[in-house]
Amino acid sequence: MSTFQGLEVGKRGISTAQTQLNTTGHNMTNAATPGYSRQNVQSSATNPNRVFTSQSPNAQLGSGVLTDAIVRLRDQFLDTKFWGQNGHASELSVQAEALSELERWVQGTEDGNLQQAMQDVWKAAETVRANPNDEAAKAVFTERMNSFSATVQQLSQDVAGLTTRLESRETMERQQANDLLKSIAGLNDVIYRSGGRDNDAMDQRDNLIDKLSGLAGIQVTAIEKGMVNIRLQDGTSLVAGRSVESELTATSPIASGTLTGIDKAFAAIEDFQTKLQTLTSNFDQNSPSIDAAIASWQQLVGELGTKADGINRATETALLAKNGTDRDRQSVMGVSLDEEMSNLIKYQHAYNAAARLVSTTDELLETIINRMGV
Amino acid sequence: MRISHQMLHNQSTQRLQQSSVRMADTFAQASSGKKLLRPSDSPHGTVQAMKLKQQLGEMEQYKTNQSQSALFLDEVDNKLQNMSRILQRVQELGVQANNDVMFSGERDVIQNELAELTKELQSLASSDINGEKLFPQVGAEKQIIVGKGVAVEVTLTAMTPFGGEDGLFATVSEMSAKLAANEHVDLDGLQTSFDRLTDALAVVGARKNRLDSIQGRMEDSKLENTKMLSKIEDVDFAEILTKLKSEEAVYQAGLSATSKLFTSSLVDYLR
Repeated sequence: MSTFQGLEVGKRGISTAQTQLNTTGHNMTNAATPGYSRQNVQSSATNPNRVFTSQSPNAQLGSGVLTDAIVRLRDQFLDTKFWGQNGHASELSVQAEALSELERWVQGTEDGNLQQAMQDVWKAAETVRANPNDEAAKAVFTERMNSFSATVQQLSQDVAGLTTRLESRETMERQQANDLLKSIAGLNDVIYRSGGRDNDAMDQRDNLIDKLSGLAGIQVTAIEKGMVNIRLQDGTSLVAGRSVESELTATSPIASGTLTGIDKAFAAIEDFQTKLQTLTSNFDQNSPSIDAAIASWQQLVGELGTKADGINRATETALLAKNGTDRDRQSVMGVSLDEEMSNLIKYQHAYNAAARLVSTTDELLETIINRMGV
Repeated sequence: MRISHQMLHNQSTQRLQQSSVRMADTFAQASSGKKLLRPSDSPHGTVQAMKLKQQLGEMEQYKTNQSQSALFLDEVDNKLQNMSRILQRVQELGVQANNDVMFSGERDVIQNELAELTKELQSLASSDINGEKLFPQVGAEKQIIVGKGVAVEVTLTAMTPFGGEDGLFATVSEMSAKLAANEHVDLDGLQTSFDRLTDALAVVGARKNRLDSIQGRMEDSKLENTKMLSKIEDVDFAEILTKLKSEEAVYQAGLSATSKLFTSSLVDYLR
């Protein structure tokens, strides 16, 4: 047993307590950082020294504490669940947004309402029928037909505008997803170089995966040294470790997320446009054809309403599920200031005690050096 | 469950967000007075409302058509009344002319008056409204649609009030010929023509009655449809304002709870 063992044990205690105090500080100051997961210092007692005892085998004298690792507290299972739910919720929300805009155009204003326009044509046609020699009635009819065409045209334009906006949004979101892939590969590299120890880089990377999972449905698998691989749900590899394997294109087989939602919204809008076109191309001045057109329009509005209603409900449920999982995740990874404060006290006491050990050992050494054999 | 501060924060903002969304929806209903702001609020209700609006629009048009029909039938009635008055005078002239004690010049006077009356009758028989004959030939009758699938004939074919080849005008011209030839006038023929006119008046009257009852029925169903539309579309203000008030209370409670959530932590108790 060394004379200076007490100093060494005290030093180790001070150093470990310092690490713990600093980690607590790191946690507290990052309590509001998005994507931050709390960190914890793992420590254990160091290898004991043998001391000679009257009985065999000899006793083992403890030699203090050392820090093993600083780990982040996070549940991989909840992350995977969250990423799946996020893709589903985003896919539905973007559809809900698009349909609700479509609904707004369909509803129109009191004057720009298509049903009103068609019925005005019908009324004018009926008036002409009752007064075949009335030139004014014929003029009104022509006017009503024009106004009907204008209303249809305005509606098609509004709907086309919605398509254009969605197209540019799709391009933008895909670009963002590809940027995210690059950043994730870059962070994987940083993590690899740290040997899988860089908790903060891992948090940042997982935060980016949170965002990516909303844009496109992905599968994430952990590989060596804390890195992850990212694939599409059909297995197409996007990120393998430190490199981007392939980027997303317009034809990538994406199964969920905003990008899929936009594609589905396109389909719904196109269906609407086609039906609107059929309706207007079959429209002429005969009463039965006007009646048929009004009936198809009512059916179209009814279908749109039912579809939007269904998607709105599904979106609400999906968001609720996603938020629930996020809450579970926060329960594991989120910083509790109360907990950190009580840790602060615990580690402060450990630090003080270790320091006291050093000064006590110092007193012992004083005894040996100055009082013995004088 | 372990509670972190981030979690409390997320949860309370989400809940406040939810209450404000609900409040905004209710407020939109209260301020617009409409329950259905977009088709997805109630797809079935929306289509129902559209159908009712369509029916109300149709009724409006049918009402215009009904007034138009009434105008035509009134005109037909009016012309027939005038003609029957004239024909009465023609009958009187016929009775006078059949009187054997008469100066030769007197028959000429009667014949002159008859010629004038005939012209009047012809003009009445060929009267029109905006180019449409009131007494058209067979096949050119005018029908006006006054309800869904309900048409009313608003003209009379010339056959009905005036008869065919040996009808009114043949009788009158024959009378004129008899007067010229100093012969007796055929009073029975005149009576037959007069009866025909009277019968036609009865037909027009019956049509007007039918039109009136159609109008009455339409007013009833218009009222019914308007009531139904209002039930589907319109907001019950007492209900919606109460709802708004209670949602506001929930929101206020949420705000106050959130403000209390973060007032203290362990930091406050450590020196």
